[in-house]
Amino acid sequence: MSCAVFSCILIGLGVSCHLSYLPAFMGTINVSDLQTDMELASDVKNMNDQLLFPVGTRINEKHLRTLKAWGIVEVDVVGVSREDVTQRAIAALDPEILAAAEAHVVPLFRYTDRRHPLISELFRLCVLRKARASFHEKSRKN
Amino acid sequence: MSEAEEIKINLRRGIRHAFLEGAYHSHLELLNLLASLGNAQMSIRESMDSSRILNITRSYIARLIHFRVTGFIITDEHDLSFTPTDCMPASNQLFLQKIVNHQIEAGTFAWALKQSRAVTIHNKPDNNLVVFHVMATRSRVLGMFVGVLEQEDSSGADVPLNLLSIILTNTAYTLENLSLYKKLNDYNQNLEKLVEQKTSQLAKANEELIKTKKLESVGVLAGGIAHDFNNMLTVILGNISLAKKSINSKQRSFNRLTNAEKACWRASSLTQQLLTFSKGGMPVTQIISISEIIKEAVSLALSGSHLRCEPGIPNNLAFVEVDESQIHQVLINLILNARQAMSNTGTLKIWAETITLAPKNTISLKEGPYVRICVQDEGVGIPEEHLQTIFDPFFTTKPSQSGLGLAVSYSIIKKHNGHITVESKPGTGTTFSIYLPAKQASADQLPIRKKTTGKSPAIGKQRILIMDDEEPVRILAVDMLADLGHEPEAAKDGEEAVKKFKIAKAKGKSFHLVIMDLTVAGGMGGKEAMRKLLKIDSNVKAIVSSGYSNDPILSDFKKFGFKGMLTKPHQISDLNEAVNRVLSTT
Amino acid sequence: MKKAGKTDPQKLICESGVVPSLPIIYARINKAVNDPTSSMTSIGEIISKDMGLSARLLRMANSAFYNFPSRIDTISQAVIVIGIEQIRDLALGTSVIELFEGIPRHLVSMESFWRHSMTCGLTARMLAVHRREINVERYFVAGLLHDIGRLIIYMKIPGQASEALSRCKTTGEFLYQAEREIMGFHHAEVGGALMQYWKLPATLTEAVAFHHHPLDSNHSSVDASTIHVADIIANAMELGSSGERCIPSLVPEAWEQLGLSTSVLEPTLNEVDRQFHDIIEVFLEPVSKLLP
Repeated sequence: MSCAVFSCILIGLGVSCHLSYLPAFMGTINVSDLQTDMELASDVKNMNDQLLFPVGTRINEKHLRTLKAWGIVEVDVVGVSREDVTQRAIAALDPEILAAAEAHVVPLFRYTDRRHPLISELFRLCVLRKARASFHEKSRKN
Repeated sequence: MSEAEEIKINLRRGIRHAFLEGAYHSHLELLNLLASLGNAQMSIRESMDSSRILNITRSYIARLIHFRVTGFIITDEHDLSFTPTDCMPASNQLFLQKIVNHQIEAGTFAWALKQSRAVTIHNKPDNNLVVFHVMATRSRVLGMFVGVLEQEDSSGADVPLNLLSIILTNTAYTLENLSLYKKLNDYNQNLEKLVEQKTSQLAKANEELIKTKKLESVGVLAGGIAHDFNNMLTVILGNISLAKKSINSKQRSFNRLTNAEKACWRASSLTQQLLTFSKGGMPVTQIISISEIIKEAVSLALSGSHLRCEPGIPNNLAFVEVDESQIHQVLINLILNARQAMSNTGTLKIWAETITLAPKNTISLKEGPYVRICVQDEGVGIPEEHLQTIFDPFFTTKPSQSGLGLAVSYSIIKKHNGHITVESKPGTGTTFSIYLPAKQASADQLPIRKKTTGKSPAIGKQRILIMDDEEPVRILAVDMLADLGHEPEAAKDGEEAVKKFKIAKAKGKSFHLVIMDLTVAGGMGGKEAMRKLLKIDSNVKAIVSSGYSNDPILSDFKKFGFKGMLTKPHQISDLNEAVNRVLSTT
Repeated sequence: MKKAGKTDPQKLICESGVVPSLPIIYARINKAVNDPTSSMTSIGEIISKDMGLSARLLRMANSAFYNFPSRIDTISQAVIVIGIEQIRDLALGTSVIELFEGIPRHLVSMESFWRHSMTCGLTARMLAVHRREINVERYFVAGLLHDIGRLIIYMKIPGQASEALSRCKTTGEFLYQAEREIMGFHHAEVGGALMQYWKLPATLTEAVAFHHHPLDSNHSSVDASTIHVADIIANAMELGSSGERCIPSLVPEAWEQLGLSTSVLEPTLNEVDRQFHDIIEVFLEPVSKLLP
């Protein structure tokens, strides 16, 4: 069911995605589960935002070692699916939840200057965080 | 106090003393060490080599902590992989590598990478105590330091470990500086190269500009001279042709006059060259068959030499729309060059053909039919490095030449939407090929090329007004027209012409034809006068005359109300023809 | 502007009533750490003598707080991995909670208070990590103790504390502004005074004392700025509260002093969330056992 919802949202975003392909789209896996010959579905960057491997890289032994050395925990790989990617995506996209979250967060920031870059970024993240939390609560109740 | 007590106290004091001293000394040591950290930075300029920096770092660390084995694992700048670079003692390289690999697998390496302090690890397989310390700046990880402690040393002295952080952070910044310095150096060198390139390009462009400017000023000067010269030539030619008419053709002086005429024509063609070059104007074109021009040019250019040439021209050669005199110029130029290259002996080949150019041809002309005229000599040839520049103005290998010939030719052909190419082999010969767009035309559209003719009485006596600011030209024209059987009158500028025209019209004796010079110094010229005349009489027939054969007004004379045009200098035959033509039109 | 019966922060600490003193174990550890002849093993032994502390430290060592890739089974291992100074600071943090009991429940929920303090500590620590500080546990402790002055206030002058709380509700001021209005000082200054009393290092003291106006600190404005920013973030995360109902306003220069980019905010929030859920019990357990 969630797949159908997700696909609707994806299509709503203008992402062309064949319904029949849905179950097997790209997803993240742990580096410990990563094996040689898998293909990266997105860029891998280290904690300094430097590019380690670009999208499309075919993993070999040396790559694995480098990933472990840098402490990369998860990578996006082609051909693997993961349920909670969809969950996260849905939570971020549901406008109702977002609106409620924002309404909740705004009064907290009443006496701060939301124009300051730090505060505005904090505000944005708090709204997302609240939205995710509300979503998890809702889904737990159901 | 007993002796024993005293000894005890002294001992205690001694121990404390020694302890203090020890601590004091080591503090001094450390302070000295810290003070000298800057030395690592100095080494950047001496050699752009990271191993020097690492060695200095190693020596600092050695003063702090005694490691059995030390190594630096440097992050590769391009693929960000970790490669063990330096191991001391070198014999332990494999041993260290094993430890590092094990810790990478275990995840402790990555964990230590994220800490900003020394991390002590028990390497389980062999029970070694290993210290990892990242070398990082705020923005970048440069590598990892690895040190294996002596087995017994698990001392609680934190101070050295904290200092390790200071040293290694300093090293990290030094390494980052080094890489930035290298990048900057490369960038600088590239920049220098680029600047050099651009400067030489600029110098060349400047040279070109100066050449062009020179050319322009020469051109302006030449144009002025040529104009006056042309007028004089007109007078000479005109007088000669008049003189010829009154002599029997069998007399010797007739030949002499003919020779003088020819010489004048040659002089005139020279001035035309100059005028073309100085004004660079549009050709006055007609659709013609080019074969006659080729033949004439050949005979003219080869006269007086031992060279013979029979131009190969097919009967069905396509027509071209060209300015006769300009093409003439070009051909003369090329043939003369060929003649000089062959120093009077050898075979000169000239031929013409109709060809079709494909859409993507190497000559970069539009596709379609063209007439190609080739001039091939067996001369000394042109070396390859000159081939690029022979069409440049003032390029010449012969000091006696002006170097204008090829440049002018090139410019003329270009203005005709054609192209000149050159092929040459030093020692074998050179071939110039002229491409001109071919034109469809029926035979009756072609102008009839007349030679010297006599009168053409068909029209009868006409009243003709001639306007020219040069008195000799005026007198000559009046003579010529009178000779042709007409009633000429002269005016010295546009104003006078208009006045005379008005008066004549008022008297009922309107002029049948007006011939006006285009350029009048210090007065109204032909163009403006024409406008005024048209207002007075919209049916007025006028011919525009000019020494600048390339004046756009000449090529587009109809637009300005004229019914015909004449280029100076003109022979009596040209004058006659033009007058007849215009007067016979309605 | 001082009302009758007002005191200054130092007097508040030193006056009547018992002020909690630092746990003895901390003093012992501190001594050992400062002694150049002691070793990691000897320090480990000192800690092991305190069962509660050992247990807590081991749980911390094995939590998301350190995220160490393999299990740490013994204190001596923990000391090696975590570092000596760091262990000392961590010991201080984990033992301070036990010092405060018997505070009137209507003023503040202890659990909520410690949750907020913990969040601030974790955030301050993360900010220090991003700044590549060598000893980040120091910031954890400073964040953990940043509002400790409030507890003192609630303990010693509950009446004025209550007044300040109600004043906030009507005027919409920040609680610390109301405190200053009513008492002549605010909780940060009290906290600083307490830490001075405990003879803790000046950097720690000033970080706490000036966390609402960090630029006034003479020596440690960076530390104070870290706590200042961490407090703001912690309040925004709504993990507990120490009395403020809204997020305090930011002193822009404090953020600039840290020299960080706003892009560190997202990973910081994520890490703090992770660590918080992993170790909050480690801190609260003994206390929550006592709660009715």
